[in-house]
Amino acid sequence: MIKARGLTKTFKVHKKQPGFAGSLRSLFVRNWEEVHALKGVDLDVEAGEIVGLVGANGAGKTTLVKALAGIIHPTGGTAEVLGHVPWRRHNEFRRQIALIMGQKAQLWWDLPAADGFLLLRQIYQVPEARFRENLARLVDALQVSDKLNVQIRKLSLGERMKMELIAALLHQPQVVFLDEPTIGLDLSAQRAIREFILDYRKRENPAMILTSHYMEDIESLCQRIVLVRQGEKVYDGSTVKLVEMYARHKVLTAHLQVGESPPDGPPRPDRMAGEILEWNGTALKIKVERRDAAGVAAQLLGNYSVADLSIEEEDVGTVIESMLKSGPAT
Amino acid sequence: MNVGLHFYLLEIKKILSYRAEFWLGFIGNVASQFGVAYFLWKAIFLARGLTSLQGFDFGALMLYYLLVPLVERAVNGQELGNVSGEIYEGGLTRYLLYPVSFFRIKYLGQLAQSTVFLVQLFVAMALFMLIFRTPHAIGIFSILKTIPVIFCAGILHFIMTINLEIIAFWADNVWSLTVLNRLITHLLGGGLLPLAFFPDRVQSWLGYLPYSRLVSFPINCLLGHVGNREWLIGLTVTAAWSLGLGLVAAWTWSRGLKTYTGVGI
Repeated sequence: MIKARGLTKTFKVHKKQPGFAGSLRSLFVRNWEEVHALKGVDLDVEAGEIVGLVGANGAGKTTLVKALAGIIHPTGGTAEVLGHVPWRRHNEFRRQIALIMGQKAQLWWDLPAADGFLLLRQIYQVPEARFRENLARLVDALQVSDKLNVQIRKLSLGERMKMELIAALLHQPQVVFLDEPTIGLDLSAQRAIREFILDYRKRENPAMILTSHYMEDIESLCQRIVLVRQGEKVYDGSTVKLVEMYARHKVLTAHLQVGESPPDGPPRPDRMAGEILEWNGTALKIKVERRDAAGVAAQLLGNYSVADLSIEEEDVGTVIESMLKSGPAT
Repeated sequence: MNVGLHFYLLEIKKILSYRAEFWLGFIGNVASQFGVAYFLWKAIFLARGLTSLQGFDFGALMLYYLLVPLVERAVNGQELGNVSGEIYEGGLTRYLLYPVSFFRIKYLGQLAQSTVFLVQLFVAMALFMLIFRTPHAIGIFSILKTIPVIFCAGILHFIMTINLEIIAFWADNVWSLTVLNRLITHLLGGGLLPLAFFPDRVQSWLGYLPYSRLVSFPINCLLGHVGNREWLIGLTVTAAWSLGLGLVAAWTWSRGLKTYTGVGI
């Protein structure tokens, strides 16, 4: 459904010297700098996939999304979305895609959401019956029926975001780009939106690309992650595999028998192979190198009366964070 | 319902929903421009003991100055900065995603505003004639001739403005350019002074420029000063300018879109 090869995008940015003299100088002389936002990115996304596009600010995630949605022209490379070149913006292509931007409202601020939805029905030429059915289902799923007649500008951020989601999905797009859809939302709104996205995927089987800085979004929605750093793709694969391949540590949590104190006294960092994350007298949490995990578990079981022991992988967020800082471990 | 009609009606709904803007825009704009002209020309007529100037008696001149802001509003709408704002703030993104033409939507917005302002124009004219009992009656035939002129002038104005606002793809600010364009249109179009006050040679040159088609020509049509042949020529000149500038806008727009960065997302 989505296929990109060697996508590059270079922006020319005006660099102005600071201060009044700099402003004055820029009236006559302009210094331009080239910023390479994308450096030959390849990407394939199939129907039914939700791909998490992850990277630091300025890594090129949103630029990639904008190119694939047809908003910007890339400097080089090719892309096909649903068989169309996105930046040619054929109506047939635009009728089948949606872009949801957490940081930018698309609905008309002066209008109540209900009016905006009617307008979108006209724009996308959705048949009346299908429109009513879709709207009822989406409104019900996001529980915003009492807000439909309120002007968009008067809604809370969470309510607005829900309306944006409804607006974007009313025409049942086959490709959906979600650019930070949960940004700034409280936990329950984030959860509601995640559930809603999963439900939409189950129902419509679209190809979806999600960018988010919230690892909870990535972990719960994406089986596949594409990691972008400085305009380049540095990882493209399953989320689980990412952790298996690149997580350097495991976290061991041991709960001791109640009432028994450790014979050797409290655990001490110099006696353990890992880093003690937490010790409250009964529960011990240690971060250890993956290769040491079995040994440390045996040590714990041998030295303490352990009621319960669990070994967990490092969370995806930590792995991604370390990869973004240092690159994939080899 | 057709999507264009939907946008058109929506814009009208929006204009009518802002009551203060609706009345203040109408009364404030007309009263301020008309008031200045009234006191200025009254002083001139009295000081010089004039009964008419370049074929205008005081009543006819006042009717002209009443029509200037009304016609300008009906032709221009209130779209100043609309397109450049969409480019600067990334609002254009929405229209690039939707399967509709950006310019069609923008034009329909202006047309809706023009429609409302055209109704205001006729209401104001009726009031003027009722209050001042002017002999300068405006006939129904003149009104019928003026409606297509204002419609075509609206298209020309829209295309002229678009040509300037597209520069927003490359320049940091085009506000000054659009304001300058309004001032030039006001001056060379006959908004500041009736074109009859300019020397003959200047008048004939101004006839070839698009500006007079936006102000003076519709007013003269309304006042019944335009014959059928002149009316047809005027519409043809308006259409020719619209076509030429439209082609320039289409070319510039396609170039500009390649530089669009979708800022704000």
